[in-house]
Amino acid sequence: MVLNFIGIALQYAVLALLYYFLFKVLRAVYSDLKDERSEARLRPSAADESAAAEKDAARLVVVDAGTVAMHRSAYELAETVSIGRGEGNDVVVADSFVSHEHALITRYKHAFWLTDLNSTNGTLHNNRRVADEILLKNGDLIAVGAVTFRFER
Amino acid sequence: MDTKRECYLLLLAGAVLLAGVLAVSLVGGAPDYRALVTAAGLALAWPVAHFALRRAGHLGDGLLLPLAAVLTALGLIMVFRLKPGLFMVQALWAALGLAAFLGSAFFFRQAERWSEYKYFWGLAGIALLLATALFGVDIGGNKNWLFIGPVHFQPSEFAKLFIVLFLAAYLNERREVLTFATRRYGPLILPQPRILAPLLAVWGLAMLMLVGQRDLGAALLYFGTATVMIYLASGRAGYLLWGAGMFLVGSVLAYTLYPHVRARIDIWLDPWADPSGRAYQVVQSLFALGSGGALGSGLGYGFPGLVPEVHTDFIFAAIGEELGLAGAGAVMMLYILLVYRAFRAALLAPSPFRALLAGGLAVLLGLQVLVIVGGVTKFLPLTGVTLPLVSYGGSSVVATFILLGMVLAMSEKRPTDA
Repeated sequence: MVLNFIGIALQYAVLALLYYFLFKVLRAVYSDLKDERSEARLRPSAADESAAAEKDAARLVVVDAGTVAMHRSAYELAETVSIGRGEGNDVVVADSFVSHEHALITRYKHAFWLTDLNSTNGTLHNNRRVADEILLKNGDLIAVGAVTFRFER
Repeated sequence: MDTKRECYLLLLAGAVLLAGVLAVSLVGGAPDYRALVTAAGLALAWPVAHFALRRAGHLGDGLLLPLAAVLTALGLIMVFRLKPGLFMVQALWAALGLAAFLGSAFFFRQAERWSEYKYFWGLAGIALLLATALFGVDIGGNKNWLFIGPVHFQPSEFAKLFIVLFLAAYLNERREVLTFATRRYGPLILPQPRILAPLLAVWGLAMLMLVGQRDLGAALLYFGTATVMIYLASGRAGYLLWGAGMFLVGSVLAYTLYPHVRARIDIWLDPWADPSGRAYQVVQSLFALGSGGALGSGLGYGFPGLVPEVHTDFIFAAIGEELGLAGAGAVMMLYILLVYRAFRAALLAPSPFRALLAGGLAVLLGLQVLVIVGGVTKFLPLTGVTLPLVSYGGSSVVATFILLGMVLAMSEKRPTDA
């Protein structure tokens, strides 16, 4: 009789404990989210961020265009910049040795990375052929076909 | 993140386990001391393991283990209720799973290093699957068991992890190419064929599993995870369209060519055409869920034994019957939180590779829960996969703990070494 009663109490205890657990986890999740929000608030505000973006700003300067006519002498680097012969690229290099989608420069966490998009004739980084993603530093030379760019930031 | 709060949560998980096991054994009359001592051992092992993790300097997400522990506790309670003889075995698997969790949490700290052997992981995954196709033994309709001496296990549970690891490493290297080097055909985009190769390979693998081993559930998981991972890597929704298209072609082919696939779909569309024959399992599962009501019949007071395979694939029906909507809802919330924490690890990951790995694992876990809970509740056609951590079965429990250990490693906040 007593055992019976304990048994029934335990049945409800299982469910009650489950929901108490869920409540505790949700509270932990909530305080996590709040921490992340306040962390975000501590981080630079929108105005500071644009200033930071200014500091992040980087350019590709055409050092040697060879015989290729480039649209501009320097290109501002945005989030991702594609380089190639195709008209859809951010930096169009009208050289028959350049693939349609030739190379890519991506920003990831305040750093710029150069990738070769499996182009036929390759991309040179400081005169070495690009195989992997490469972290770009100020003054690096990037050669796509006959055109050489300098990375500046 | 304080260790004290997490240890408290783990003690709560232990309390759930002890209360549940005691409640079940009291229905039978006298408490089962052997089971209780085992449960108490596990309940102690969880906080100790967590404490050890923190002492060793691991900074991973502290909510993953408590969530996993409560799900394991529920699984153990249900296995004890449904098949008391298997309780000790399952408790042993849970303990091994905990060890595997710790092991993988430290092993995958250097995930970048292991990702260099990506082809090894990919090949190992495929080899495991091929081994089942060649030497597999049929247990319960799925030919996906391997016997090595006295040990038998389901390699596809582990192969999943290898494939996700391989895909994360492979796709990470080709992220840009997947995103930019594409040809456009109206709304559809198509990258160069050699880049699409892994998608095709996994698709082929899934079809092989479907045809060779009748493992519908696993096929769905592999293909779904691969497709979503390609989307995660490229950010291009077009790949999802391709994936959906290939899936559709595959399923139509399977439906017309294979009677066992057709049977599953027919049962799903109209289980009442043959409720005591082919659709018996699903119909009994629906009755079990329906009779549970809001609070359930109470552990030990229902008749979940009427559902075939109730302790493995259909354990969710037993939870629905004996713990009611309250219990089943709690299980779903636990999974949602677990998948949320895994995605959070992906969002906060310091590198794209880690984000992709954590995201892929989150998708894998979420899809598996969706597929089996959907199947048991007749929301989706039934496919045999386990309910992670809850279903009876060693391979599944250990593999899921390894998966969570990987997520834990990915969730560790460390300075970028870029």
